[in-house]
Amino acid sequence: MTALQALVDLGIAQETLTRIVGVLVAAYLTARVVGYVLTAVVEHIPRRRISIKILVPITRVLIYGTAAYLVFGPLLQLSAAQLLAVSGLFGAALGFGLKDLFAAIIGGLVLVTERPYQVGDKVTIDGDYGEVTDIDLRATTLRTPDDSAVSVPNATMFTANVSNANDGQPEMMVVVELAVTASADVDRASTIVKEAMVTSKYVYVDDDHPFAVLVEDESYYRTIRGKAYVADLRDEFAFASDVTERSMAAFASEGIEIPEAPVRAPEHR
Amino acid sequence: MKDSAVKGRRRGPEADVSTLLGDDHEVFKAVLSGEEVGPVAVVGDPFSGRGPVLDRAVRDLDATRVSLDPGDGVDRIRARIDGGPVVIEDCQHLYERRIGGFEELSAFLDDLASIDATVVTGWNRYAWAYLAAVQSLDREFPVTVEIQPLPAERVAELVLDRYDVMPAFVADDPERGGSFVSTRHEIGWRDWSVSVPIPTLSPVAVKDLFSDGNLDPKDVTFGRLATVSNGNLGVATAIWETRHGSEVRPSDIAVAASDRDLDREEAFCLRIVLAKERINRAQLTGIVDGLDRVLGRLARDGLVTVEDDIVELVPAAVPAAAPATDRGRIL
Repeated sequence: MTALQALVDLGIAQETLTRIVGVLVAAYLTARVVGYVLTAVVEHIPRRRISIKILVPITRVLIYGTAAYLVFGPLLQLSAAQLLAVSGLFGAALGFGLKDLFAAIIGGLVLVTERPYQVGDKVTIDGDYGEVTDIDLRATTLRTPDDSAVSVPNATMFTANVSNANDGQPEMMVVVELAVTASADVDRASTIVKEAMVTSKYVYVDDDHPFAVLVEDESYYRTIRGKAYVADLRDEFAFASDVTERSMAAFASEGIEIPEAPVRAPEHR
Repeated sequence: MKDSAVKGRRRGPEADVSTLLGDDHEVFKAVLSGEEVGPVAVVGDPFSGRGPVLDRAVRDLDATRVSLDPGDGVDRIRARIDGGPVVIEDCQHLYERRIGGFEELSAFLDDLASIDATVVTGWNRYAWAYLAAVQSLDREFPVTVEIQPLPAERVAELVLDRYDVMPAFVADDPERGGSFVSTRHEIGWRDWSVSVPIPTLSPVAVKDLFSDGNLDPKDVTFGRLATVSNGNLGVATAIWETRHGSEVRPSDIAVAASDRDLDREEAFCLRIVLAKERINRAQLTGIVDGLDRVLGRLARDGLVTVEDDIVELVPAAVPAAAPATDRGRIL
């Protein structure tokens, strides 16, 4: 009540306070419901997952922006001189202490309009790799393969490289590498890796998403590199694990040897 | 269609080949008359009528017929080839979805390249699509014909001709709500979750809503049956036989579908069964994790049957099985 009285003493009527609280609560609930509904829709339309999920941060910005306008518009009603003074103070604050925050917010707006990546993409930003799970005005949240949430300020986009593995598409190429000894039957090993990829429950193949198996000579061993797409980028590691596991089991049953790590001979003193 | 797929009815005339093949009938006739050179692939959905098309090829070509079963390989075909035309049914049994599972298919395709006589092969559509993507199978067959969906009138004609007793067709009660089907979804927030029935519009019911309310109930019923079965005669017959009683209403025509979402392993197993139609349980071992439980759940949902170690696709469940696996984009 003391805080309420203080606000009333500042000239803010109780009805206005009630209206402000109502607007903020309504904005919060609306943002939550819309976010939940869009996420539920996404699970039933995998092909449109990325383009629908990008609507989540956009609708949040619109909802909270509208709420801010409804709250501060009637509340402030600044005169021209007051507006100028506030602008000056705002500019000084930006210059001295909030420039990073402002840069991050501008980065967020650029992200929404230019879309170098979207919610649902697998990206590498400044060395951090993961799925974009949220794009707010200030920062982008990545979920790493270890299930860590990394918050990357949007301003990083202006200073670091951004690598996008799927560019808005639900499919993503996955590369699986297996090594065999130099004396192993490379043709048979390549066939095994190929069949492991195309028989996987996660693989996606069509004319626009082909698969390939490449062989590289590393002098003392050979690397079999299999490249194929998964239907859902969230299956990236499950696919790689499935192909690796089954390929190695087939190598073992067919006598295809994998190289061992060199053993350092103990020093004699 | 195999008779075992639909039991307890007298066998009636099959759909004619020209109706089954539609525009592809002309090129099929050209192959049978020798104007076009094969080999030919006859591709169709499960239970859609590949059998009658292959029957026609056997008759016209005076060909040797080979029907493949789960586990059969190229040796079964080689034993029957005598230099003349040959018709091979259910070629989807020539591959398995595992490492080393394409050897029989590869050997068959090698043999195909050296056979001078006309060869007509029958393939499950889902198996064909998979093999075309990963083995470029379509490039080995210069002629491919596809079984087309039957129109509603033809479905009505063929289904009713199989039975001696005609049921009474009754219009749906207008008060009876059938426009929505309910599916359950888990809604969670932090540690709390609840299973909530979510109503969704039934496309079949929506179509009925926009149709003329004065239509004959028989026409509406078979229109619905053709829509639900995607014009697949075997599936339509199986759905027809799930109804009971001497009266039939349009709303009685429905696909028995599970109201839960399939997980990845279930959808993958179902996709394999959809592509093979019949498969040995042993062939699924090592491909599907937790096979016993997965098959148990699919059987409880009415999607497959498991008998004597043979896993079979339930014909009436095809309209539910296909979209359930398509949703996960399983190849």
